[in-house]
Amino acid sequence: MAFLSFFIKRFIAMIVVVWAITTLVFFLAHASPYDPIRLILGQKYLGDPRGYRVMRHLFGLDQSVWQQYTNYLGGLLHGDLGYSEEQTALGTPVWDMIRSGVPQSVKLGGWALLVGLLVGLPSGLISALRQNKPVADHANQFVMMLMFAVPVFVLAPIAQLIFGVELKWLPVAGWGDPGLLGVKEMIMPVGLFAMGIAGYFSKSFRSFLLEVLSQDYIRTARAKGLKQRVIIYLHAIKNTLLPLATIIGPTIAFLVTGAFIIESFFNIPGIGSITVTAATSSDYPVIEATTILIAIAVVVMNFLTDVFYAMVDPRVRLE
Amino acid sequence: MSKFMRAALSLGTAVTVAAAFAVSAQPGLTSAHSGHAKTKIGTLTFAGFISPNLHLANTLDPAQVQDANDLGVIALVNQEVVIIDDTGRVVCELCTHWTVSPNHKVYTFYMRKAHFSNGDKVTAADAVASIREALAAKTSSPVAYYDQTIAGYDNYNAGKSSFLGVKALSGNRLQVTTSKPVAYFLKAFTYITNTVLDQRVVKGINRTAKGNALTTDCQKNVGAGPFKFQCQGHAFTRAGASPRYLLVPNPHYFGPKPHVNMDLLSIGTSETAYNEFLAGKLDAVGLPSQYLSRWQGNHAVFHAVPTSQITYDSLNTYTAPFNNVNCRLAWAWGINRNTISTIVHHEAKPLYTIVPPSSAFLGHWNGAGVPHYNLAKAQSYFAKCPGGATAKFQYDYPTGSQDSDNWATAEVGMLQKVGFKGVTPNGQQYNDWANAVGQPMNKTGTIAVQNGWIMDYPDSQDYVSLLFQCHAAYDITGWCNSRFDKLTTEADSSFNSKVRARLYEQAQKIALNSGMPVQLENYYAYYLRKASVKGYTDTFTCGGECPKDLPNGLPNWAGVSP
Repeated sequence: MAFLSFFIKRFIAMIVVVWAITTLVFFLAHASPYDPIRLILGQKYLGDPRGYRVMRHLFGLDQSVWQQYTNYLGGLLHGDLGYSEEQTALGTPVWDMIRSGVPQSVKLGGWALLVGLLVGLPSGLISALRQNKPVADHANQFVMMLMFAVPVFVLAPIAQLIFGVELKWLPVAGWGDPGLLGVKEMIMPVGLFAMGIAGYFSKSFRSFLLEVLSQDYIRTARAKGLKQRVIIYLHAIKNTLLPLATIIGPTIAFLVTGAFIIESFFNIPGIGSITVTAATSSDYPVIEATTILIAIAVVVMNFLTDVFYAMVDPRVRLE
Repeated sequence: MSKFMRAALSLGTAVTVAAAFAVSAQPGLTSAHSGHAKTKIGTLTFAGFISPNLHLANTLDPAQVQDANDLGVIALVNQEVVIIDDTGRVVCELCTHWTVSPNHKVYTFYMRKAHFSNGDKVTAADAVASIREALAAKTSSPVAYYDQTIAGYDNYNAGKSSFLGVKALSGNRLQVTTSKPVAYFLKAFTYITNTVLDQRVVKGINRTAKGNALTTDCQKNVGAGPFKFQCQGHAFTRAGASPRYLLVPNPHYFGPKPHVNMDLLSIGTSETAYNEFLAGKLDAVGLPSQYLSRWQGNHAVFHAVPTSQITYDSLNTYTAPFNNVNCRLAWAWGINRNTISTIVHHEAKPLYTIVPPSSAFLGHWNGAGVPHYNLAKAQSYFAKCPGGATAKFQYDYPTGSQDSDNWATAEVGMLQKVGFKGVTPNGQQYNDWANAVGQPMNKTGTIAVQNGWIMDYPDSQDYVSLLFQCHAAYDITGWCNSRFDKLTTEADSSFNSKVRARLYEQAQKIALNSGMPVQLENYYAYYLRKASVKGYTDTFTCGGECPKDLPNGLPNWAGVSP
């Protein structure tokens, strides 16, 4: 019963949050001084003012902003996200863009998250358990810091040159081909994306674990003569799950919006670059759609994080 | 060509890469010739689109074309009545010949026997319906105005009348009537707006920019060109895969049939495209300017092609100091174009005339008698420039690369040497710059801005008259000269090419010696193409690399080989 009440409250809150964000983004986007049709037409605007007016009418931009807002909300309730107003995707249904892009971004992000966790958590664990050891901690964390800090737009072309051009082990770019080629195409983008995630999780997990290992109950466990393995896996790691959940949740939420640079460098038809391009070209319908997407993802992940909290820590109550 | 500066300036060489074809042997692909034994053929693979958001063509509808990338794909799948050949001549594509009435207003085109890729016959009625649909008010085509010289265009395009000077006299005779004698009509008529579509397929479908069926539904995209799309159901690309168009030979194409497939990829960055070329996946690629010096000596692979893109400075003549001709001339004589060319790694070359250097243009000369770089002369004009020394203003330019910033900084340095001490460079993001060059300068308050142009069709009218006549839509500076107008108006309606050339040359000299515009550079496109690729040529008129022409001016696709 408590869970049902919690779920309903959260669901209503989610709708309110999404509506509020949608409204805010709608008016902020429309407050922009840029006119998307003018940007599409460029100098053509000068030679063909009638064409400009017709295009504005076609996309409903000649209506009052309130009328546009009510039209937009009405369309949203019917599952109509409108049409892109950006030059390179002009007239494409936004729903089609989201529907085709999100699965690819999630596929890229999901694999990267998995690899990042598989690399980052053991690295953080080793580092915390061997604190201040030259290789296990310092060198390990130096590498992790590098992986986290070096921008992917530097790493991507270097990786392409080494593995694609010189060694010819992997394709320079490409996505979604069948068979072994498809697997090989994933290695570089997933690996590069995972590097940043692994570095972040390694640093975070190390500090969470060191915090837990300094707690009194760990000292008590050691005093009781429990084996190191039991102390680590049963007491220490379990207590890092809560703070870990707080960083994994938002990370997953933002995976749906893709990785702009990696998608562009490796020709991945995800949604990251669509999101960024929309923001820089006053493509209102796409900006609004991707914002709703992020809002929903964040709210849902926060909800799931709360549920997880309650499951792993009985002191937390859903109420 | 499109006149949208976004395509020209932000995509740079990517625009012309659309025409850069390369062979990548992909064994296993077979020709789609129905009714024939299947033969293994190679595939031409090239970076058709450099786009951070991995979009393919903006549109596949000839009535909605936005840039040269769109044009490149549409032209592979479709045909027009007439086209421009490698040398800039107008030649027949879907016609066999044409006649012109003595008053130069009525053109009769005799259509050849040709078929669409689905086997439907191409008729004059298809041409009429295609043009009418493209120019109709409900289509709201941004490129309809190329046909504005056709009789009845204005009212028909505004939805006020059903009359348009295009009709089918018979199954194979198309008649087009212009509202007045227009010397450049045939060149304007080659624009892709006039592509002939199969009316049995496209009748009644959505041709507007919003949810356009030709762009979204592969099955609806049927043309008479050398290639046809290989559809994935109704989609152009397999779901979840990197975006691409795969084109296969059209078995019903009337000309020498290609023996290759065409794989047009969308690639996120020019760096990736270059790396893909190095890895052997692409066999032709637009060369990023930073690698120019590495490849320039390699004549087997390196290709340089002049483009129609020109860059010039627009000075605000509505107000001081540039309402004074001496101030404008001080600017025009004070710019060292060679230095700028060096700064941009010779991606652009000095330009002193309004029309770029090509045999396709009437009225191009060597630039003698108009402003070049001469500091002493610039300073002597500056001495007669009231308020030039004290005027504080910005030189607006589109930022986005180190080269463009270096260019502007160097140019401002040259102007300060002349005496314009108060000028400062002002790099603008595309949106702001587009606003600056998209409105009259007295509205924006802009004093000096770097401007540019790409041809719509290879005719001097498209540069000289269209841009600089009094109250011309594209003249943002407010400059007006009645003598210039008289010469260009006469040239636009003269059917004697020698007379036209002379008139355009005279008009350009008047404009340039008034410091309007200040011509700067003519862009070049640089390609790398595998030496093994045969049958291509580098031409100005097709915007880059194209198949060599047959004697009749049509592209020889059969001569292209891996």
